[in-house]
Amino acid sequence: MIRFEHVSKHFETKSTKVQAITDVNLEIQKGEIFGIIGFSGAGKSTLVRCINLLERPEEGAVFFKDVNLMKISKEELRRQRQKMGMIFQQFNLFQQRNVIDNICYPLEIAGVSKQDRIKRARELLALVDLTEKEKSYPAQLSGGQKQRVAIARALATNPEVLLCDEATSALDPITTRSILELLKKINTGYGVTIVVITHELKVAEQICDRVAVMSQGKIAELGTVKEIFSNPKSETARKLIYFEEGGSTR
Amino acid sequence: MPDLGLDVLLKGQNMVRLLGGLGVALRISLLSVLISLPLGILIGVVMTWKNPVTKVIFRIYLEFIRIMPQMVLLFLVYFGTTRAFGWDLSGETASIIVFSLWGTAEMSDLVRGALISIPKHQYESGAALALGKAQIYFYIIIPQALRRLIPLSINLITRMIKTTSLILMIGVVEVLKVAQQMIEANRMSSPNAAFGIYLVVFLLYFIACWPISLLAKYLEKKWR
Repeated sequence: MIRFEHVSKHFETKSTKVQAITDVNLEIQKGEIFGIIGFSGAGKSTLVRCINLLERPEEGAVFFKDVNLMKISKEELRRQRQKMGMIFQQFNLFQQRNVIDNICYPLEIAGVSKQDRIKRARELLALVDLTEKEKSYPAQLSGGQKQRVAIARALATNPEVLLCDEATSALDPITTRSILELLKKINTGYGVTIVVITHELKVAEQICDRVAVMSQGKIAELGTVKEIFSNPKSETARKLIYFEEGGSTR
Repeated sequence: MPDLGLDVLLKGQNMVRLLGGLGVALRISLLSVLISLPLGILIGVVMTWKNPVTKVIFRIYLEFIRIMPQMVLLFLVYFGTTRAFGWDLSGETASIIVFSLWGTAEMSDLVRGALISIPKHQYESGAALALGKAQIYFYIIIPQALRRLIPLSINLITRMIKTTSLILMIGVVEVLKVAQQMIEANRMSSPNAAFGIYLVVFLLYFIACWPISLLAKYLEKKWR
């Protein structure tokens, strides 16, 4: 579904050069929930932004369904992006539009008729369990509800992939759990491939099929959740597990 | 109550002349505002581009205008163009040119500042929704930037209105010049007129600028 071949990306400021990701090779399968975990600054966010080319790598190739995204035109890239939804830690809803208009927006861009837009938006609202909030504005919603709207909006164009950049990091544990359950439902019910970035191991534990552990721009370890939790091979994975257990009161 | 010489205002057509002068000042400043706001927004957007050529050109333009006192700019355009190119600009035209150049420069820097203060994830989520560059600016960035711009640009507009008091130096008869003429003409009969007339001029400027401040307050509330 998504394939990285020798992808590298660095950022330059006047005085320093930061290597964000280095020579990453990765394949994400259709229909799985793939987690990318690591500490802050490990390059997780950059990696996920390379999937829809919000960040353009200097080297390597990014394939989405065997299309090399690095080689196609801007127009074509926008069409490919419509097949990829993305949600963020900050939700990023249109503050001036109510819930249903927010969800309709990507459909408007895609040129869907008004009737079909509303119909689709109502379906999605039902899916994310917010039917009664149709006319509310983002400012009137809680964090969890905003993220639900963002998910509905990201799903509006029927994407095949949903990218989640720290989608639950601003939410409390109970809300996080309900959002993750929603993601799981979307994955199993609609076959949407989901890529989750998180620094919280619990998140990966709860929904991911496979996990990549990132450290200093490289993939330190990759495997099923079970493998990594029961037998962490990399230093970073061990640290993540250690802090997770140290952090709880068990 | 001391004699403020307010009776001078009632002599002949004096009040009408004073208001006419205010009209000239407002016409020049508002025309310049109408020219500089859209141009400033446009150039402000261009200034956020990473293109080194546009960056350098507009940077030089901005710094030049910002460093030069407005009076020097007025002289440069009014007298300078006559000497250099033989143009015969009227004082009013020269003022509009200078004020537009100045307003555009300052506005573009305000717009640039407002645009770069919009967090990067706003651009990113726009792109992730498959919006094009123009759509991202038009639907996401500019509406948010405009809200941040209101107090700053109102400040600029009122400054432009107030700075028209300089254009009497290139022979435009605006409110301050009319006031001076009236004071001069009545120096003998009512020597205190300077107090009263300048007080009225102050009030006129206040009446011109106050509604703009109110409008800004209203817009800021409405667009929050």
